[in-house]
Order: sequence, then structure tokens, then C-alpha cells
Amino acid sequence: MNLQEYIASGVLEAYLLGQLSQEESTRVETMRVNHTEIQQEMLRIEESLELIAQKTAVTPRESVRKNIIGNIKASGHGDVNDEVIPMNKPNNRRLTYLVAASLALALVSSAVSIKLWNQLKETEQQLNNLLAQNQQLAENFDQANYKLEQTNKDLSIIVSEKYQKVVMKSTGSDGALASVYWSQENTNVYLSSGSLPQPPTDKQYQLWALIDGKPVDAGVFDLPDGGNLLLEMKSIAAADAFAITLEPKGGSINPTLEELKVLGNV
Amino acid sequence: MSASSKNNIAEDQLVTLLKRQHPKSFGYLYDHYASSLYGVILRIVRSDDIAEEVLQDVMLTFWQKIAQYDASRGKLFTWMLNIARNQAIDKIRSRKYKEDQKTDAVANNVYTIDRERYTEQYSDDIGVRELLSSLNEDQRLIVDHIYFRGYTQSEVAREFNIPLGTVKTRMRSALIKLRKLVY
Repeated sequence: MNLQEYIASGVLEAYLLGQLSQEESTRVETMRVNHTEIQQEMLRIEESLELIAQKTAVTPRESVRKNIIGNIKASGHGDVNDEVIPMNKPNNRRLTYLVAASLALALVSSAVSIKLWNQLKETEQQLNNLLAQNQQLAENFDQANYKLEQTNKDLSIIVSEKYQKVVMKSTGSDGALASVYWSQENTNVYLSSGSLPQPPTDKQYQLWALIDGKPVDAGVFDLPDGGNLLLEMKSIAAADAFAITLEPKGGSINPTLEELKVLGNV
Repeated sequence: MSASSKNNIAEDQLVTLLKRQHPKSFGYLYDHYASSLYGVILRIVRSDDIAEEVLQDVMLTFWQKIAQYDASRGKLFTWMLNIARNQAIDKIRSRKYKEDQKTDAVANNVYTIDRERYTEQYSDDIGVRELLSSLNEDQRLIVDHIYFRGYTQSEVAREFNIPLGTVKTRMRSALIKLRKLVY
């Protein structure tokens, strides 16, 4: 292997990044001593490594410098005078200072404790508020989600080919309108109460399916408050027409024909 | 390093002062190299507290072992860089570090917050991102793992199924490219 190949193999970089075994390292060191070309290339790589580290440097917190210098002093390895305050020899005067300093420290730490305690209480309060808000948000989310699901379900019924829409028109002159979505296949009945007016408080609307002129109860209902959501009614297997009457609260066994509000043929 | 100006002393002079344990030489050493080394350590250990601990240890090592530094075997920074890298890597492979990381991950949110800080501060810091973006994907993988995260060449070779020789040549070509950027 000639020198160029040796350099190109990346072995020098590996050596300088401490990636080689002892044996391989020794070989590189020998090469370095014997070949100026290798020595120069290694200096170039070392320079690059240093520049990359400079370019990606992160400044440590200021306290680190003091700690390290303090540690070196404490380790007893030589004198480091840079920014280190020289210590006085202990004497009585120093003791007085120490006592005074301890007292001051005790006072300060009590004050700090009280402050911290207050902060803790405040933080706890904030946490509780946040938890309550969080709970509220979660509930709102659930509600919105539920509404969305309902709407999606309604929409899927309205657009479904399985469901037949039966429009029931007013039998009087008030122009009231309501619709039934009925699936003969799975016998489900959904009601859209349309423009039915709010019933008197002692009355309820009742939906009927008419088969061969005979009424079959399909359930009583209240007008939905908010939005024109579909109401799921009782299952109906067969019907020629649907109609809605106004009945006493709880509904009737037979429809009160005088109170027939809307009617529509299938 | 450039030659001496008002605030800079040549590397060989600094080494001489350090070897004589001149009281002011350590402060100079710290002021000139701590940030470079701290960046290297921080990216390997990924925690400010641990990185500070490692930085303290290595600075103390430099001061105590400066007599062992042999200028004929490389620049002062290379010597320090390898001591710093090795101690940082030893740290993350130590059992205590692993246990700490694990406890944090399971027990509380502190770890999550640290991770978030980490991604913001270290992995995405502009210097590193800028450098890495100049490399092709193959080179980036090698530099990111070996230089910035402290993997060994053999580990990268094994983990990514790349021949060891290829790992070395890619590291070389990456450093050549990076040199043009930082010089």
C-alpha cells in the first residue's frame, strides 16, 4: 500500500477519533514519525476536527467554570488563582463572622422556605385550575365528537339508497311538513320533524304507519331541541303511508283522527 | 489555531505553561476550549447536568495529566477531544446513566421535557444541522453516529451493515467536505 492509498483508507481519521486498537495506533504513530506527508495530512485532519468542534460549540453555564476551578483547588493539584478568592486563616474574628453568617443564612433560608412554600401553594392552585380546565375541554370534546357522530349517522341515512324518503304534508293550512326515512329491508324508521310547530305542553306528537288503512304505532316523540336531527322511531315492516297525530302525553293506542297533522304516502 | 495575538497564545506556549502548572493557564485553557468540548460532550450524553459533570471531570483530567500529553503525537485539542469523547461515552454506557434514563422515562414527565429540550437544543442546533446538511446521506449517517453521538466505527459497521473499510473512507470524505465549510 503506498502512502496515498494509506491516507485515503481513512485510517488517520480513525486514529485521531480514537477508533483504533492499540496495535493499529502504534502503526499509525510509526508512519507519522517516518513520513512528513502523513504528518501533514494528520495536522490537516486535526485542524478540521478542532474547527468542527468550534463551529458546533455550546457554551456551558457560567457556574461550571467556577465549580471546576474550585474543584481543582480542592483536589490539591496545583494552584489555580484565576478568579478564586484567597481564603483567610481561621481565627476568632473569622469565627464571629461565621456565626453571624450562619445566623444570616438561617434567616435567609427561613424567608426562602416561606417564599417557596407560598410558591408551591400557588403552583398547586394553578395545577388544579389547569386540571379542571382540562376536564372541561375533554367534556366539550366528547360532546362535539358525539354530535359529529350523530350528524354523520343522520347523513348516512339520508343519502343511503336503502332508505326511502316519505314526505308527509300538512292536512290543514299551516303548511307543516315532516319526513320519514324508512328502510323496508331492515324495517328501521327515522323521522325528521321538519317544520312541525311546538305542541302544547300536555300533548305529544305520535307517528303512525298505515297498512291497508289500519294504523300501527311507530312511537311518540318530542321535537328535538337544536338542529333538525333524525329521530329513531319504532321498526315498521310494512306501510302504505305515514302520518303524525297530536295525542295526549305518552301517546294513544288508536290515533285521534281529528288531530291528524301531516300525512304522506309511501 | 492562529498564531498569537493580544488574547491568544500559541499552542506550544500554552502547553508549556500548563505543564508548569502556571496558575493562570487553566483559566485560559477553559476559556478557549470548554465550549468546543462541551458541545461534543453534550451531544453524546444529551443532558446538561451530565454534560457539566463530564466537562468538570475532563477539565480536571487535563490539569492533572498534562504531563502525559506528547505534542509529537498530535495537537493539544485532539488529545483533549479524545479524553472528552471517551469519558462522555463511558458515561452513557455506565449502568447508572442507563438506569437514570430508564427511571425518568417510566416515572415522570421530566424525561419527556428533557427530550423535547434535547431535540430543540442539541440535535437541531443550527451549527450541526448546517454541517450535516452539506453531506450526502451515507456520510451524514457516519458523521452523525461516530462524531456527534459517540458510536464506534465497528458499531456503525455492524448496525448498518456497512463494511468497516467503507465506514472509514466515508468518514474521511465527510471530514474533507466539512473542512471546506468550517475553514
